[in-house]
Amino acid sequence: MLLDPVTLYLTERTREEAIPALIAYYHLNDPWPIRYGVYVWNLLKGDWGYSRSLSQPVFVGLAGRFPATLELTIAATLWALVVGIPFGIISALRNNKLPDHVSRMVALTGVSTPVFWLGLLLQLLFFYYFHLLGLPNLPSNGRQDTTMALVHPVTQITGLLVLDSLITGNFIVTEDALAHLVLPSFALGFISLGVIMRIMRSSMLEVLRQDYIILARSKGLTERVVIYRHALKNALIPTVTVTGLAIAALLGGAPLTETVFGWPGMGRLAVEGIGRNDAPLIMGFTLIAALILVLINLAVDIIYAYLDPRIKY
Amino acid sequence: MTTRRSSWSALIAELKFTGHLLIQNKVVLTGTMIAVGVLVIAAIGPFIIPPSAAANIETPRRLEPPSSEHWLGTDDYGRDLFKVIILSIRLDVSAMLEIVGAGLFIGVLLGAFSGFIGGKLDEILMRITDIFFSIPALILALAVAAALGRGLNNLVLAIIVVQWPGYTRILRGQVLGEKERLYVDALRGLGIGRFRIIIRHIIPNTIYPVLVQATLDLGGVILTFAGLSFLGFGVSALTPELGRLITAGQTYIFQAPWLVAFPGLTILIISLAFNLMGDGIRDILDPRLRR
Repeated sequence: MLLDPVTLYLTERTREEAIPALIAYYHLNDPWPIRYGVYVWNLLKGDWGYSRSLSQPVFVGLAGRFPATLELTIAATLWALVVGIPFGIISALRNNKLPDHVSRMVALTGVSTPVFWLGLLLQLLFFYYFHLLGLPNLPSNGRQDTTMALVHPVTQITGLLVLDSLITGNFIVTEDALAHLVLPSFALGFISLGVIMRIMRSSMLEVLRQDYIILARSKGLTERVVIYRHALKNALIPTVTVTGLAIAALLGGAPLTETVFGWPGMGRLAVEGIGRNDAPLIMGFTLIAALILVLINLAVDIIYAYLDPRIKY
Repeated sequence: MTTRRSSWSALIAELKFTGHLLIQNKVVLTGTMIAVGVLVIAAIGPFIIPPSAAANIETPRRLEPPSSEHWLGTDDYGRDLFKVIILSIRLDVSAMLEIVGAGLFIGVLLGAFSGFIGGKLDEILMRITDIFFSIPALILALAVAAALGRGLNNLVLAIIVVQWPGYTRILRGQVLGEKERLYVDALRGLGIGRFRIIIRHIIPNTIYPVLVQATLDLGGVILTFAGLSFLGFGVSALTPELGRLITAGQTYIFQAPWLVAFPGLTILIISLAFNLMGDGIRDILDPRLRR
């Protein structure tokens, strides 16, 4: 930081005599190994530090915003998988024909598109131009309509707005929350769509060359059965790895997407924290991102064992 | 007693052959041509368009739509958007090349020494790269940039910090196999030092996959750079930079959509061109895919 860290803890009412005590309390004059040790020790005790910009403990602040980020990531992953896997299969079956070229272009465009720019263009088209044309437009900001939130409050159960409103039977809110999800999750999922599509294609091509597929075909099984019952499960294994990596990429894309769409998640919180030099908050966010990445990798390994009985742990 | 020829000449011959294969695939050729065009614009931009165009504030002409006079319209300072974009390309592209170049330099050296020398050094370096891999790259770059403070150099540095571990890992893996080869024993037998063997023989024989990865990374790095710049790291408001232009245009998105559309499109084209090129190079270099 370019500024004296103690200034972050001062207000105009802080008394001069209190400053040394503040410095001592936050270990600001200690060398970094000691400060790091204190940070890690506090983490182990469940204390993630205190966020000055939120005026609440970092953990509480992040936990409050976590469900919003989770909901957005789930929606983005879902649509990338639902579209990516079938199109990947199609381009493998039509190898080097038109669908294959199209999927290759979509994939490359996906990884080349600035997600924040895509988000802004989607808002322009589906929110503003649809409104101008008198078409039903999609909301472009936030997680739900502000008046809706007041008129139909939703009891928090999981924190996922769509799920909570479904459980409590608050269907108007479900509809509203889904509408708010469309644009940000499309923008976010577009990054991963291409990656999933390409890996599905190449692993499908790989599997279709195997002997057991030739056997299945020569037994006279229909192409449908060969593809969906015999080839798909094995072809899915590399896709699972890539999906794990893709979720990590989505998490990385969250600060940008959430900022553009005013989505009240952890990513936007971190960006705001940076603007206010809130170091504990930024560290907390980085830590939670790392934790999620590690957990995703664990989940991928577990799903492996399910998909491929040859793998035993 | 030392050999005059190092293994670099073989690498150069191989690269020439790659170039020959590269121009045979139409899609890849297009990407490569655009990429070269972008590099040319980045190099000569300030000579065809006076850099003063970016500082030329004319408020009465602000937010004009595209016309024959201002091809892409004017921005909120009344600057000609086309000229500002051309001037911006230099900054974004040079940042991209600096980041990948520096990442490559650090990654290759550390990877080569880590793999060749092995032991404790290898163990320590590999655990360090593990730490980097456990945090999503963009978030780590965000945190590093936040810790370093705003400014162009700090932003470039922050992305270099997250860029090198990937190259170190790939090169180290290559070196582990390469160092068992007979010629390495022969060089050792001739009394040639470790440092010389690594620089003149090991690196040129193992650098290939890392170069491919670096080419593939170019398109992604410019996105990261522009993205963090969009969030407010990096350059100040009037400096021509693509991500920053989108931040400025965001305020006028409904009033003057071209301010967001064109700078973003420029980023997309640059990134796509380098991705097409990298994708093609990988296909060509992968012996399983070489037709």
